Order: sequence, then structure tokens, then C-alpha cells
Amino acid sequence: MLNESEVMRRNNVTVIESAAGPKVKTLLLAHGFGCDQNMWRFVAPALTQHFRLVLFDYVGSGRSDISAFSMQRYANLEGYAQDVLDICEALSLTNVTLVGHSVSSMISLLAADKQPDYFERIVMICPSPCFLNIDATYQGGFERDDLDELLNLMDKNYMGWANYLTPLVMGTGNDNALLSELNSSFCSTDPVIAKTFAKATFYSDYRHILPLVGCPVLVLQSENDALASEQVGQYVAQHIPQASYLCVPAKGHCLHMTDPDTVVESIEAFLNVACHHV
Amino acid sequence: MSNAFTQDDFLCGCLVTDSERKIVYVNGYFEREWGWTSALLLGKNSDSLFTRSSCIFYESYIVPVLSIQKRFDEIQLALLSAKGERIPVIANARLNNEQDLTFWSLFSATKRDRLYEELVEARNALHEQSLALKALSITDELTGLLNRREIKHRADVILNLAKRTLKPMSLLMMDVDHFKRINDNHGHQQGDEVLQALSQVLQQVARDSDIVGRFGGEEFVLILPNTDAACAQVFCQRLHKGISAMQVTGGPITVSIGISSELIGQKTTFEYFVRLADAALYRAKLAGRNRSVLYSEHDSGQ
Repeated sequence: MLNESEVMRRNNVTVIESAAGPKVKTLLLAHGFGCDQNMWRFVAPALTQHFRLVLFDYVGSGRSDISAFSMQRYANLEGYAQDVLDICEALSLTNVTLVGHSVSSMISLLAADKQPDYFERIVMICPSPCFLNIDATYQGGFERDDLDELLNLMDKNYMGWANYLTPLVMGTGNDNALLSELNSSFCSTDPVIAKTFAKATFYSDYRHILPLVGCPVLVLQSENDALASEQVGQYVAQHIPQASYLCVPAKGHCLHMTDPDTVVESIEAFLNVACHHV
Repeated sequence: MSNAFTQDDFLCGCLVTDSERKIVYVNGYFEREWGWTSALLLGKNSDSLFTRSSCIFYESYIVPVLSIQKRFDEIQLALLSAKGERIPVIANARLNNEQDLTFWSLFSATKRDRLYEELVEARNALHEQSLALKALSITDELTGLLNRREIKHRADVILNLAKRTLKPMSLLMMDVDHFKRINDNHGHQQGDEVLQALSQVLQQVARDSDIVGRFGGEEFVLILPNTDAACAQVFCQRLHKGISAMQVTGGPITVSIGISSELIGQKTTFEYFVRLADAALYRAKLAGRNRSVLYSEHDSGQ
């Protein structure tokens, strides 16, 4: 078992206390594939009005401790769910609301399945339990060839991204340097690690865990999402016992970046927090 | 002379999309090179220009990077021509927040793609080679079991785990009885076959978590995590039974086994464990072979 400071460092955990004081609910925000906790920057300021926020990077993403990566552990989403559980345990979090984007919404369900006591509610932003087209009853949206091509595309892009240059642009203290550093932490993780995450994300089929979810769940669906169609979002909501479903008239798969206000309001409403937005 | 040129003269695709991802402008390159007339594209979602895999890439990287950094450089995507051909392109783009428009430039990357394809293949070949070399470096050539160096390496890992979890573990030293006789009477090739057949039995009887290796010559080592002395003795009975059923020239084959088994002290080392098992093995042979003997204090005099 890792202690608190080890987990904080390993997963680059950030805790943001709420403006409303210490007696508020905690939201644990889990980023999706391809990014890191920077994804939450457009919703974080508004959410801190009512909630304490815990942000983190999965091992292998963002500014996590890459040396903690294990091909075996992170070949399946269960390994990423363990990161979530480790953070809950290290920070002694209970009654948390877990907010997961994309693949993290499924990781959240896996975490809650293993340790139901930690979690009060779950918010799934643009979820898909399976990206593959399986049969007439389930179309995840992608053929295996599409996903093979994705891995090939990742290979080629990583060759062009020179992340070994990162140390040269760090620490000079101006905004450009900060931007460059952000750039490198944002996309240029190790290719082996990124591909492992991609395989765990896009080749998996976790539809079977949907009926096992024991807590209330909010499914936030984008009306126009190339990765997770409305049918997929509806499938998720229909198969989770206590799910509410909200389809947001928006474009794309990153609702929390493109429509941050809607996401914040939906979370507040789901958690019965009064809205005082001007 | 006037500057009678336009964006259509550039040798790259220029594309403008709005915040809804609708295509609001394409230059003439799209039609000349990729068969897309403006009429076909204007008002369409930019997703329709790219393959499904590129759409995933778009959502996972390009959208977050654009919204935070307002631009990205040199991302390879697969574009679809009007006829549905896949065209590798390098994309650069800038988001202009005031106009809410994204300005893209798309460069054909067919040659670069071929080079990258070769690089990917070369890297995959290297990766496979290094896996094969790694497998070679840890296995005993004749039997396919772990070699002595790897046994030691894995034993250290298991010992450390056992020290933390305070679980018992057992180590078996096994020797083929009268192996020299098989070699002398039937030749070395027959001897090798006996060792190979024996290795198969060991692997069949062992559990996945057990470590099975050839220590050298006709000597084998088995490490059994989470196994106390009583369980180790039951395990040895299964080994003796399996080995006696082996159908090999020069058979039947029997073995002698020394068992060291105990809770791990903080200072316990692999070498210490082997020494105890060796002492027990010596006693097994003295007692007439074809048996297993558990180490006891009595053996330390050896």
C-alpha cells in the first residue's frame, strides 16, 4: 500500500478547497484518454463554489510519475480504476462524487464496483462502454480496422513529437515557456504508455458492468459526438439501474471544455446544490 | 503588374471551420488534389473530411489542445478524398477566439508517411527481436525451463514479497537418480531426452505461480510461494508420481528431492535457502534415493 504522499506524487494529485468552506462534498475529476487534469480547467473555477475538487493524472498521463507505469497493470481499465481507488484511500475520501470523462466514466464504474463505499454518485461525461461495433444490438461506432489505424496514427505522431526537448524549455519562467511545458505534458507522453491506454480504452467491452452500478448516475451526452453517439449514451443510461440521462445540444466529445457552463449546472443540479450563477 | 494570385495558388489545403465545426472555407487545392469542390464541403461537419481513426485523434488531442493552447502543429491525420481514398496529411491549425474560427493548413504527407511506416516496422521488428533475446537470455536451452540466473532473479523478488506478507515459501532441489548411468548406457542424446521429458512433468505439476528452473546438469530447482512444509511434501509426492509414469528409454526414472521450507526471516537469502535444500537433498540420497526429505536442524552438521 502506498501512503498519502506517494500517491499524491505518483498521480500528480491536486486538491482545491471550496470557496464555501470545508463542509462541502468532494468531486473527484478523472480525465479521459489523451489528456490530463488540464482538461478540467474550464469547469474547475465554477465547481469550487460548491465543491472541494480532487484532480489527478493517471499514471502515464500528464505529470504523473511515469516510472510507476506497469504494462501489466495498465493493460486493462481495472488498473486505472485502481489509481482512482488508491487516491480515495490515500486521501481517506468517502461519499465522493466521481466525475469521469469518456473512458474515465467507465473507469469510475469499475472503481465503484470494487469499492462501493467510497462513492456516493457518479457523473459520466460522454461515456462509451465499448467503442467497437459488436452486432445489430450494439454499435459502438468503430470497426477493428479503424482502431488499428488509430494506433498506427499514434505511432506516427509520436515520432514527430520531440518530448526529449522538454527540459530545454522548462524553468525560464515566462508564459511561452509555460505554454511549451503544457504542450509537452499534454500530448507527449511516452508512446508505449499512450498506446497501452489507447488499447485498454478502445478495444475493451465493459457493457456487462453497467447493470452492477449501485449508486445514482448522471449520463451527460453530447448531441453530436463522433466517439460516443447518442445511441451509445442511451444504451449506457438504460442499462444502469439508477441513471438519469441528459443530452446536451453541443458538438464534439469534450463537453466539459466546449460547454463548461452546462456541465457545471448539470452536476450542481444532480447533487442538489442551489445554483447562484449570474 | 498586379498581384493576381489567391489562396488557391498555395500547394496546401487551406480550411476554415467555425465553432460548430462547420466548414466555412476551402481553397482550390481541395478540388485539384482531393476532388472536393467547395459545394461538396461548405456547411458540412469537418469530421466528414477525416477517417474514423482521425476523428478519435481529433477528439482526444486536437480539441483539448486547441481549446487550451489555441493552436497545434504537425499532427498527422488521415484525410478522405472525395472518392474515399485515404490521404496522409500533416495538419497545423490556429483557433481565433474573437472570430470563433479555426484556420487549418493541410499538407500532403504521402512520402513522409511511407518513411514513418518503415520506421514503425523497423521499431516493431526491433521490439520483437528484443523480446526474443530476452526470452533466450532467461531460458535454459535444452529444457526451456528458466536458467540459473533467472531463477536467482525471480527468487529474490519472491523472497522480498514473502518478507513483506509474512507468508511461508518452499524451495526444492531435485536431482535425477543415477543420471550418469543413463548417459553411459544410452548415450548423451538419450540423457537429454530424459531431462526434457522430466521438465515437462515439472511444468505440468507446478502451479502458475511456481518457479521451475534447471540449475545445471541433472539438477533442478522449484520455488513454491505461499507453500508451507506440509504442502511442499504433498507437492513432491505428485512430482514423484508423475516422474515414475514417464515413458523414456533407460527408465523408469526416479529423483531425489531436498526441501527447505519456512517462514522467511528478514535476513533470509536465496543462497541460504538453496544451502538448506542441498543439505536435505544429500540426506535423501544417503537414505537410498527416490524420495523427498525435508530439511531439519539435523542436516546443518553436513
